[in-house]
Order: sequence, then C-alpha cells, then structure tokens
Amino acid sequence: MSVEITAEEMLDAFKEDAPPGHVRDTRWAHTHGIGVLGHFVASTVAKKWSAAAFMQGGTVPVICRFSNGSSDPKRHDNWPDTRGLAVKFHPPGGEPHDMLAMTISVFGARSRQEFLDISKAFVPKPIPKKSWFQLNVVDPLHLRLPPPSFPPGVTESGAPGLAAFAGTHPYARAFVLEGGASIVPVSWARIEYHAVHTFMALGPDGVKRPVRFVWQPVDGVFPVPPVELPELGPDFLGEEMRRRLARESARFTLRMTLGEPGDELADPSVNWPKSRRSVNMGMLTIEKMAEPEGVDVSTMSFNPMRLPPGVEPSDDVILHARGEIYSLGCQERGGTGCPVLHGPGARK
Amino acid sequence: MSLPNGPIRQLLYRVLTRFWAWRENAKPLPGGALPSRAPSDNVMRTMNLVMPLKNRTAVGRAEAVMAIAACLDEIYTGLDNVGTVHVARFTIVDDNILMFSFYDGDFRTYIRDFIMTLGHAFDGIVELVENPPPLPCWRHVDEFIEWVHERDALQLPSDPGELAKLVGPEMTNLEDLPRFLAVQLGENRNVQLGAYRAYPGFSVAQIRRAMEAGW
Amino acid sequence: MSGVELSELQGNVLRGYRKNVARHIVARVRDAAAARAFLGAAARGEGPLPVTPGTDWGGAAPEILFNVGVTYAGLRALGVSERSARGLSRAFRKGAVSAAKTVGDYGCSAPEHWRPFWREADAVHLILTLHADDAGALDRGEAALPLGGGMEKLGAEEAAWFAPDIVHFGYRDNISQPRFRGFDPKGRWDDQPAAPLGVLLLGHPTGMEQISWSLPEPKVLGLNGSFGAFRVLEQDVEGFEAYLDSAAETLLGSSEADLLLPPGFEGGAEARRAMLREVVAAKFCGRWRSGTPLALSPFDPNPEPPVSDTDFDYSDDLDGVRCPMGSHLRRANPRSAKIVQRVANHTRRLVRRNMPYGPEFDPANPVKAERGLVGYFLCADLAAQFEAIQNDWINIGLQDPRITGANDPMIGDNDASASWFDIETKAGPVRLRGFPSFVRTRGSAYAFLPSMAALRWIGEIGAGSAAA
Repeated sequence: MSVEITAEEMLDAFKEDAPPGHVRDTRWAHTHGIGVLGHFVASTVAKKWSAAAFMQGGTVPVICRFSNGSSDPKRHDNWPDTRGLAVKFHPPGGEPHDMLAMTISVFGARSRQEFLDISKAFVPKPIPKKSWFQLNVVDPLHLRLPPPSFPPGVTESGAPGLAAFAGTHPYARAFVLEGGASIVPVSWARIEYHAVHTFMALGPDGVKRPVRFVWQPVDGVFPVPPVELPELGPDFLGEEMRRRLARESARFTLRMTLGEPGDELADPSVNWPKSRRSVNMGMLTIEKMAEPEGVDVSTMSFNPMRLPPGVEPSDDVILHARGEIYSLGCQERGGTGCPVLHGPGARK
Repeated sequence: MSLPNGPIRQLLYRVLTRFWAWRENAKPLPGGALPSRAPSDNVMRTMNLVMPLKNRTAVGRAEAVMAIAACLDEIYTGLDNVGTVHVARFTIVDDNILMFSFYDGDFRTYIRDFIMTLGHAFDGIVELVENPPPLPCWRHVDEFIEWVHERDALQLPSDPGELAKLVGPEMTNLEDLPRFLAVQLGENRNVQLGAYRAYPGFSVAQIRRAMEAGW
Repeated sequence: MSGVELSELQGNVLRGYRKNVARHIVARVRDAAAARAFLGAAARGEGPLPVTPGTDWGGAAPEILFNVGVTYAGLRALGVSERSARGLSRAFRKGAVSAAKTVGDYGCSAPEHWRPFWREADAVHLILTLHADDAGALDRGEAALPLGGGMEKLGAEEAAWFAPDIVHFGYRDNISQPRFRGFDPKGRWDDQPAAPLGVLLLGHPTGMEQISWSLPEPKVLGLNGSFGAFRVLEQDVEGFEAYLDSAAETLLGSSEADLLLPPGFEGGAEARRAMLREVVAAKFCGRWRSGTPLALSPFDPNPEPPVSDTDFDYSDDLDGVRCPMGSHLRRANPRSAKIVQRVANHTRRLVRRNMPYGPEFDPANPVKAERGLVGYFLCADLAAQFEAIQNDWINIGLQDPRITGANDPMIGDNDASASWFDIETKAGPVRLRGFPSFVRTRGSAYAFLPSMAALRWIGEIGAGSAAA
C-alpha cells in the first residue's frame, strides 16, 4: 500500500452502491431511521472491567437512532436488511460519545483497498436470471439451495455481485453469509446489534483489554413470520416503535466480550468464538420517541470513533476509516457535530 | 444367556422385553427432571432432547446445520437473557438432532421463556424433525411444551440403590433388576445415566455473580 | 379483540366485591342435565340465584353475589367433551393435586393432609362462590342452589372480611391489583405498565410478546374465561407472632439491632424490641403491617406526610436495602427490579380474590382456632403465572442470586432447620434463621371461571345444536 486511500475515495466508492435517487442531505448508508430517547445503567460489575465514566453506574441519558442499513432513497422496513442501532451516551459532566452497532457481526473488508473492492462488487446490477436448466437440474445436482428471492419489483441489486465476490474472497464470506440471513424483525427492539470492531477497554487496574460489544434485546430476536410479511407497510418499524414505547419501554443488555491471545484484534471480518468470556455491562432502556421531544437524529452525527476516555480504538484499519468516512459524510450532508476526531483515536 | 450375540439372540431379547412389559403392565416413567423440594435439585437440572430428523440423509443433516447457523443471534441472545441456562448444545447423532442443556428452575417455565425469546429459531429447528408439534410454537405454547417434555429423556439415577427404587419399586428379587431395567428401557429408548456437576447446587446467576460476569 | 363486554365476564374476575362474608361451596355434579340447566339459567340471569356478571351495578349491589368455578373433572362431568375440555391447558387438566410439588405443597401442605373433600381431585367439580354482607344471606343463597338435586355438596370454605382490610398476621391487605389496559381509571397508581387483558382473560393479547394461549374448540368455551388457583391457606398466626418475638429477642442482643432500627431511634429495651418485631414483620412482607410499602418508607410505618401505597418500584433499590429481595411482596411481583429472568418482569401478574377465615387474632387474648386465607389467584395461564411464581420465585428464589436457595419467609415451604432470610442493610445483610412454614395448604383446586357466554353454552349442551 504505497499511497493511502482517502476517506473521500472510500465514500465515493460506497456512493456507487446506492440505488438511484439519493436525496441531498441524507445519509449514504442507513438512510432511513428513527430517533429514540432513553438511558443506560451500567451493571454493578461493569466498573470492575471498565474505567469509562458511563460504566461506573448511575443513569446515563442516551439518544439512539434505529435504522435500516439500505441506502435506497425509498424506505423498505418490510424488506430483509442490515439494521443499525447507534447510541449516543451523555454521561453527566462528560462529553457525549457514541457506540455504533449493526445486525451483522462482522465487516466485509480488512483494509481500505478491500473496502474499495467489496464496494465495487456491491454496485447494483440487473439481477441475473438463472436458466430453467440451471435452476432445476444443475443446481439441485450440486445440492445447492434455490437462490434468494428478491422483493417484488426489484430488478437490480448488488447482492448477487456481492455473493459472487465472497465466493472468491474468503474475508468477505462471513459478512455475506450473515447478510444473506438478514431478517425483517417484528421490531427494531427485537434484534441483536453488534459493534463489530475491537476496542481497547481500560480497566480500573490500568490494564487495557481488547473487547467487543453487542446489544442483546431482552425480549429476544424475533423475525416477522413470512406469512405476515405482505401485510406490513414500508415504514411499519417506526410505527411499531411508537406503539411499543407508548405501552412499555424497550430494553437491551450490553454484553462485552473479552478477547484473548490469538483473537483477531485488527480484523473486523472475523468473529470471536462464542466461548470467550463475556460480561453483562448494563441495561439500555429506551423510553420514548425523540421527535416529540424536539430531538432530531436525522442531522445528528454518530461516529464509531467518538469514544469516551477509557475506551480506545484498536488498530482496526476499517474502524479508523469509518470514523473518517462518517465524519466526511456528516459534513457533506450538513449534519450537526460532525468533525469529532479529537479523541484518542484521532489520526494525525 | 449363552446364545451367540447374533440376530436370533437380538430377536429373542426383543420378544422377551415386550413379553415382560406386557406381563408386568410396565408404564414408561416420565422423562426430564423430577420435582423436588431440595433447592439443589432445582438448579442445574438437565434436559436431553432427542429429535429424529425427517430427512435422514447427509443433505438433511446439512439442512439442520444451516437452520441453526441461520439463527445464531436468536439462540445466543435468547439464552443469555432467559438467564437460567447454564449450558446448552445441539448435536447431531445418527440422524437425530439432540439438544442437551443444564438449566435452573421449573422445566415448563424454562421452555416457555425459551419460546418467548427464541421461539422463531425453535420453529425453524423442529420443522425439520419427525412428528413436529403444531407450529408456530409461540401460538401453541402448551402443546409445544408437552411435545418437548415427551422427548426429554428419562433420567436414571447414577446411584444403584436409587436406580433399583425407580425402575423396580415392586421388585422382590434383586436378580430381577436387569429385567426391570430392560423393560423400562424398552419403554424409554433414550435415557440419561446420571450427570456430573463440578459445582452442584448453584444457579446460573449465582455463578455469574461470583465470577463478576454480571447476572 | 382488544375490548370485552363487562356483562360477558363473571363479576369476580375484573373486580373485588368487598362484601363482608363469602362461602365457597365445593360440589360434585350428580345429574349433568340438571346441573347444566341450573348453570345455563343462572348465566342467563334467570332463576333464584343468577350468576353475577361484571356489569357495573352502580350503588345498588345485589344482596347475594354468585359465581362459578369449574374444574376439569367438573367440565367433563357436565358433559363437555374431552376434546373441548383438553383445549383449556394442561395445567388445568392435571389439576392442583398433581401440581402440588410444583407449587411447593410439600410436608404438611401435601395433598394427603388437605381437608378430605379437597384430596380427591376428580371429585371436586364445582366451586360455587357466594358473597354477601351476612351469613343469613349466604344461607339463602345456598338454599337456592340445586344441592341434593343436580349437584351434591362436598364441603365449604367460609371467609369473612375484617375491618379495615386486615388479614391474619395483622397486615392491611387488598392494596394493589393489576390494572388492565382500557379498564381501570386513568390517573397515577404506579409505574407498572397496565396489564394487557390477556394476563387475566383467555383470547386476548398476553403480557408475553408474540405468545398467545390456545383457545379450546368451540372458542366460546374459553374466550373471556379466567383460570383460578383456589387455595385454602391456613396461617399459623401464633407461630408467626412467636417467631417475631424470638427474632426481636435475638436481634436485640446483637450489634445488628442498630442497623435495623430507624436512624436515631430512641427508646428503651421494650420499645426497641417492639420496633424490631415490626421491622422483621415488615421486611418479611415488603410492607409494614400498616400497609405502607418499605420501598417508599423504609423506616416509618406511618410516615407524615403519608406515602403512596402503590406507586413504587424496586429498580432504584438494587440491593434491597429498603425492601429485601426475599420479601414476600418482591418475590410475588418484582415489578421492574432487576431479576434473572429479565423477560418475566411484569408478565406473571396475578389477580388476588382472597378473604381471611377463622376468628381475628387478638394477641392480648389468644384463642386457638384455625385461621387462614381462602380464595382465588386468577390468571390466564396457571403454568405461566401461578405455578411459575410459586415454583421459581416464592420458593427457590431463582430471580436473584442473593436469595436463591431460600424460600418466601411468609408463605414459602420452609423448614426451620434450613430456612434463612437476609435483611439487607448498608453494612451488609443481617441473616434471620430458623423460621418454619407459617402457612399450610389445607386444600386447593384449579378452576376455570367461564365467561357468561360459556356458562350459557354449557347450559345448552345436549340441547341439539350445541352438542359438545
């Protein structure tokens, strides 16, 4: 890698993946979403593992954004997609900080070049149609499953290209397989969100531990049963959240997994084994919609590199690059609170 | 018996087991952990679920693997939040999918919490199995719990005295123990033969708390 | 499906009657046709003793209130087909005798020690409940029942209300019940989410997301019906008071007394002893005997200004310093407290329809007599609500690792050789030991409280089209 690939180049490559019709001043990924408000309370053991202020107990107000991963300018809550949960913590007396998480547990690239490569593979193209012979003879003889069906009316997609790419690029496989298993959840509160990258958590003992975070819905993961899918509108998730929060709060536990020697610390394309030690770090309680409270998350910047003292980025190249790309994207769309890279992870 | 261990002897054993089951009017003992007043018996209980796959080929087994891989988040998140499961694992043995677990508390509450948090994943697994229960399980909770209970293997005590008490309460000649056992195993094909616990008597939450892993 | 007509429910399901006396007549069906005819007519509001519906009667309550619970054996005896009756859940079908171990009825609470007429699960068919203001009215109500005709009386449980809402052990009761979405008056009661109707009635959304309980065929039999765990719970009032004496005595002589007494408590040994008794009674229950919740008033049974009786939560009392995790109240309904089974917060609510029986206990003039509490714990699913609470929370204490292995100090299955109860204080727990079971089960049955329509349907079984 002689010349560093810039965030501009990466964002440009990513823009190519969006279906046509991008609306100015909207996000290029996770375009559609809603804002919600609530609080995080660290568990009683969290402070034994983390010196960060928000892990010391007490109530930390949060602003969150639930989103669909798609950059399609048309909203499709009722299509399988990678969903996002971005949490902005407001620790009393401290600077706000973010945790960005999505329903896929890994990322499809390990370097800036691989990011460009996989972005290119994901550019929407007409969906190739398999011949009758291929579909009914060749594929079954190869013990292949029928190809995934696309929502009605969809003629172009990046998915087949991505699948072909993952066939020959092992680092993209976990990402593509998990993406292929994406669901339509009955609620944004009924799906698990992974913060993907490795972070370094500073403990009260002065030890920096490699960790990964995941938000687990207390009520469990629950997809919409296929028979009920046709009844759902393109924005049902927003409506569902409004109804849910009028009734009760939505809860997630924050689980922190501790990495061990041999685990990939800088490679977000690889998951850690389920056998790793993990700690229940606290409970996120989402109580109300943000909009009626005058909080607009559509312009608000969420950035995976906006970290609190006590949580540092790992050497994961993609994490650092995402920090830059999100910041750049935020500036382009005239968002609020964009350039933030003054934390411990700031690039010189 | 002095017959060679061939097909004739096997056949004879089958016939004799059935004869004695009929003669002694044997009733299958219920599977799963039994109710107990002792707190220790109510934690780290075991479940041994044996579910024969519909598709008894390698492709059928591959389907089962994919079905479970497709809902990893559902399973792990669900188990973490159910809060009473020590360990659980799926295993395929001879065209059967096995689910073995250690859990705390009432069996039916355990399965119901399970259905609530990972009911969809369970649907995906049991629809690959012979004689599935009415699905979706979360709309037929009672039937599903009984379906699981019926497949939860009989738990034989590891202690020989307890074993004799369980399988031959009306036995008058100790020499008959193998027969009583065979009759019961004729009714209950799958059995658990005791279970070792390195830390008996502790709940999941007690261990998580002591280990500072959060409960 | 979101609403329900009150006139279609039996009156004791969604509200308590607050009459002075009650009689639960336990009966067997002797002549199915005659029994059906009586029930059908009573549900249509005909005959000398109509079933009391849930309709709001304003200021003019009927003199005698009559409601019906039917066991699985009772449904079968009335001629409901096995297929229809089986559709009403396994727990109901198996009944209370079979569930004894699950709900903690061991030892002297085991079915073999129940009153004889409760022991034979298959013999108990009907629980005919009368509420009135005096025993004479109860007698008139009973005389209107076809006992000796279509039904045969096996026994009865009597109950009487003590002013002002006091129950044995000396606590004020009848303070908090679940509120139901769309039914109870708006306005602040507490922070608990209003319960969906499906917590109490079949055929409505339950408190457990996605989960619905099956309805039998025909649906009319199950819809808007409710299940009741009928319990006759003898209370050892003298034993309870004696334990408070001994606990107070032990604490008085220990360094722990000051941790438990209100800060700055002044008074001599007698005042300290008396206060320690009340502290132990309050910590056992979760409320002072005055009814004041510990969660809002940890040191004062009668605070000025008064605190709410209901508007509290345990989520701000993580270590149980105010209200112990092991207290009866917090075990039976942990509200928003952090619990092991996080999915179960708010989902196992029960509606309590109980009254005391036996003479009120006067410590100054103790009279030996059987005393207790009798009535229903109502819910939409006996296994998911009543049994789950009894098995995992009241006993075992699975909901919090700090109480796991200990049982409810007031109603748990306790053995003095092993029982323990921790009163959390800022300086750590003070452990009480050596208390026996203060409550002994004398009888129990799982009954279904059918809707009015279901009772009418039962009344028409055998009359042509409604053949079951």
